[in-house]
Amino acid sequence: MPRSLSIIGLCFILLCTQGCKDSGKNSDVERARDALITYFRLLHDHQYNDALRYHGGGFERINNGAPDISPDDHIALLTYSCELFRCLEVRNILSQRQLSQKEFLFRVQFSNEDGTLFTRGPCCGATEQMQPTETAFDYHVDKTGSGFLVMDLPPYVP
Amino acid sequence: MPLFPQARECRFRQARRVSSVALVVFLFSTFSPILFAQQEPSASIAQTPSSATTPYTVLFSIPKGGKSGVTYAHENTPEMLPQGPRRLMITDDGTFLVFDAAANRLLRYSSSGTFQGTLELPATTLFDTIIYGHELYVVGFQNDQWKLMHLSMDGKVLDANPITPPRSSGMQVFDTLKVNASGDLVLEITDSALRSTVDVPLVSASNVKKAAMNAAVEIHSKDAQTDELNVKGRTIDTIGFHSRMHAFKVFPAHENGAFEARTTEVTDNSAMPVDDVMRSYGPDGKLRGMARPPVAENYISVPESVASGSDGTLYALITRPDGANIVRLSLQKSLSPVAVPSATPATALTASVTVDCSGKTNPDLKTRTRSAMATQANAYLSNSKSLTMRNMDIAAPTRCDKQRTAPSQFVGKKTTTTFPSVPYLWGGYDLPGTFNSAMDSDRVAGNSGMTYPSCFGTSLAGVDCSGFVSRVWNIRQQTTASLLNFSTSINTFNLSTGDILDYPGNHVMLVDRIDGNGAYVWESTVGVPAYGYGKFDGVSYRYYSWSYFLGKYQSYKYQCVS
Repeated sequence: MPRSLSIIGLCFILLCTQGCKDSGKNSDVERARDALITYFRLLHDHQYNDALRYHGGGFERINNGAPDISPDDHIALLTYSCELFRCLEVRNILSQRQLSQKEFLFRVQFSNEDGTLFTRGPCCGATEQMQPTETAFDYHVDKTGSGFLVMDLPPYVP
Repeated sequence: MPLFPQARECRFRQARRVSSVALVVFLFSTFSPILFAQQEPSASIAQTPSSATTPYTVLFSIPKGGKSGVTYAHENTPEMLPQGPRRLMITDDGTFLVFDAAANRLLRYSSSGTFQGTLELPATTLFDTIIYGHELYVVGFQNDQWKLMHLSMDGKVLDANPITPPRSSGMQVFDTLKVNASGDLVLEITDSALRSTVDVPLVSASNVKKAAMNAAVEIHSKDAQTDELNVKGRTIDTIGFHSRMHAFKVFPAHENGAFEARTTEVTDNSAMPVDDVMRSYGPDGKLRGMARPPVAENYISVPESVASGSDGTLYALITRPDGANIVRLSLQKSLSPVAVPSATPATALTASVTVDCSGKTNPDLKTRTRSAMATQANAYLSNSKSLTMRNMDIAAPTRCDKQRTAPSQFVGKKTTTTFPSVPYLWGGYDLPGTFNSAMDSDRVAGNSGMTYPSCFGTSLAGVDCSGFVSRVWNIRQQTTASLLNFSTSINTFNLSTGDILDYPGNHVMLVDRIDGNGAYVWESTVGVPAYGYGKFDGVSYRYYSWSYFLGKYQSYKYQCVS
């Protein structure tokens, strides 16, 4: 009986150790994933101050569309970015991949305001062949000294 | 683009002069019977003109896809411009021909709906096709040239000649094939330098077998909202319009002298801003009846959806999600108006709000004149830039270029080439000057596919539809949806220079001017059938008939336009 208990105890310790190991390996992916979801939730909720902590996509592109905003006024640029881009909440993460020690790639779906799946089709007279309809979008998240940053901007529909 | 295949436009808004025209006997009755069954149309307009209670009768249905069905190029998403059949034609023996443009072919059906085969058309890109005299004429891009191809009814190419529009300093965009007042086959094009349409002569009526002139018809403008139709000096009909914004077209006559006319009238800001009525006149000039083509019922817009049989019976092609129906229109003695222009001033369509246009409250609300808008829009069109192979780069290694689809006009170029305008770039917001500077800095021109957002305005340069309107309005970059935040809804018949026709999530066009038939617009778009290019992706100037906008586009003006 005591021997059986010892074996069970040993198994338990091994399983726990393995679990802890896996948990350690995945924690960065999970944190990157959380950062991605949080970033889009904050943008969607107009909490641009907080969203700024997760913004890694730069401001040059955003500033290009609003040259009257100072390049240093990141809050104003992020606010404007949600006029230009679709700041929607994450609906699903279809896949996640660790590209390197500090780079993660997610394939993301978004929800429209009415809860339906966000779909982006061809624009401006283009054909499906030229601009295929998309429902999932790739997002890179980088691990930096200050935390996890979302490197890509929200979806754009002309 | 007139809705009727052989339509010729006789009068536009506020035209005061009498437009004297002669109708041509068009040889539907002599079409070749080589391949088509000898069947008569199954209906006669004489049977039902006054008693008809339904607007049309379905003759038969056409499936979607496959060998015998109509082709839809893309559909099933809310943000797209689907493409389908472009034209319905009828031979004298009652055979229906559907120009299945998305599949580069003609579909043939007997009058009872039996599929009779296809005719594959010989060009890499087809623009339009029409029956003229005994034969088919096709405008297509073949061996780096736009050509008029003359085909027998069994598809044999009889000859093919390059199309040569008059010299112009502007871009020339194809609108439609049609028959003009003299009975000649012409290609209507829009010339951006003239900001107007021009008819390019293709085939003279004198060269078409059995073509003959018919009785002269005059459209006389009695006043701003009343037209008279005169035949041989006698008034046969008086038509009152609800608005001054209307058009009246007369179609080539049948051999017995019967003919059809079509009136279009811009009404209000509803989903159907145009009242569209076909009028059928007998050989004696008497009005036999009227019908309203069910254009708004179309699942996918058909530019030339109505045609007449040799006996004057009117037919229409109605597209549906599962295919298409061929219907016979019921003629009626009178039609009640579907929409009457609102007496309400355009500005009252939305709540009256005082807008601060100083730019202090909102930097995107600054007074902008219509002439400044036109000047800016034309600056795009008149731009000319020599592009290197790097600028046109087709296969670039960077992440930003990975998804790039080079603008169509670059395809096949092997050396530095000068291009007009500014190319289309998904997400682009460049002015002509910044585009030119970007090219001098070895950046890449345009992207007709979708771009990574991070790449906009960095490695690529160009402009998309909403970016173009944003620049013309002199506001921050906006989208087709967010432009509405700076817009006021207006009556369609009040559209003026600098206003927009917007289809949020899909496309936006900048209006130059309108007439009873359609609108002249500037737009940044792709796939424009332009002279000198198979397709052109970038800022262009075009004319669209109202049917193109039905049920999709709404009219707006910039809140601070002056």
